[in-house]
Amino acid sequence: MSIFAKIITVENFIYLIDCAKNSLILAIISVILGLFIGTIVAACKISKIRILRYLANIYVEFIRGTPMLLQLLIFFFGLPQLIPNYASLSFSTQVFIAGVVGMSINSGAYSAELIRSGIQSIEAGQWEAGKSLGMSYFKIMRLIILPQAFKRVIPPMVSEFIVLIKDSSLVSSIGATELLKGSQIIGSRYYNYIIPLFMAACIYLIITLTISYFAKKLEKRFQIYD
Amino acid sequence: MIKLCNIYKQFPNVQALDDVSLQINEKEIVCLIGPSGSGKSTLLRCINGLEIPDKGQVFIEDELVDYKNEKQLRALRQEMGFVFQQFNLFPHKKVVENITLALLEVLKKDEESANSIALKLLDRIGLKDKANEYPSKLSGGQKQRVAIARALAMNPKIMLFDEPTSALDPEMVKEVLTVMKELAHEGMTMIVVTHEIGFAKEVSNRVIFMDEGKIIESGSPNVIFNEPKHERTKTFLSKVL
Repeated sequence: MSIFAKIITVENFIYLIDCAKNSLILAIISVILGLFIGTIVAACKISKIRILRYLANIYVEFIRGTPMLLQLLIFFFGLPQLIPNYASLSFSTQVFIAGVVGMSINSGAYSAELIRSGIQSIEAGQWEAGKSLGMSYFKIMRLIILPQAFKRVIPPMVSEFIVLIKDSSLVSSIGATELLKGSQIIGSRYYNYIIPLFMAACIYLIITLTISYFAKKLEKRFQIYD
Repeated sequence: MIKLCNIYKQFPNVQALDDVSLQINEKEIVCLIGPSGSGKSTLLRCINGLEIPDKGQVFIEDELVDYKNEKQLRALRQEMGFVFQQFNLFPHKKVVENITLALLEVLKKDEESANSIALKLLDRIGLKDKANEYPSKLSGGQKQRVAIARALAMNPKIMLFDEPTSALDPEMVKEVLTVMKELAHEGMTMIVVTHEIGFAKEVSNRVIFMDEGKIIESGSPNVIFNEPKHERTKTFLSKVL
């Protein structure tokens, strides 16, 4: 039996897909939390209150200026110091929480910049129209500006989501069994890493290409009012 | 109804308003004319707080406007309709939703009565069949009529128009002016910044000519257009008439 037939089996693919689920879960939770953090930070960035702008800038610059792997390690080693009883959680839960927190906070910084530029790309006339109807700042933001800004931000947010799926592989370095780690585990079983790595690459590609495909459809649906 | 006392407004490199005082009475239709950069739009925007004067006082129905008081500003704006040169419709909302948004969110009307107000207004401006279209599907003239309807839905006491026809193709100017004329005949108080001399002549009670941030001359359309006193007014009119 050739080495290909030995490694490329249904069982191994099922195992990898199971691992890929972890990658996806990490990325999905992080992109949602990141969007949430990003919206708040974006609001701080364009706020009139200087201290908020200042703090938001420090956050964004720190996250964008340091490696994500380093950030993950900080949370992995830092969370047990911060949270009592953290160490009593199971190892996989610890890794999962550190991974989600690290990736969300990382994604929050990038999303904040995307959302800020999205908000600022909305014409001043939209603000003025809202004001002239007697609407408050928050109503204008929520009902008029953000819906339009989010629409413009969809394509870069999808790229951000795809980056997160790929970067979730970094969480393997603190001990998570996600897609990349899964392929290495298979590799160690057969003393052949190249083939399992290519199998993982295929699964990453299937995921990311599928997302791109649906993102394009979503964009089209939003285009009805253009 | 509206009183402006000694208003100053400075923009970088321009004195947009230079000691402007003006009183507008109920049911009056006032047209502001003058070369671009003369401060007409800034004056209009100061009235509803889209610009904040550097100096001077604005009274609306004897109430001094405190530009730092957001709550008061919001209350005042609800009673003043504002129509923009660029329409500023909400592109992500259907035509009918453009009109109902503030009814629901600001005046807290229920869905049903908001819709009925919106449809009545759309019927009045002849666009009932466009209720469920997005603004991108409308022509410029239609957009501006919807913008007027959106402002009217709030049942304002006064309507402010900032060059409402300047961004329109020539063949669409008339439909917008027709809606405005109807409003005027119904007794709406209106302040209109415009280059439409014909409209000013036909509809307004008073024409104000501004230049370089100052009111140069003010009077009935007959006086301003036929016997202007100031040299600057004459020069401007000779260019536009």
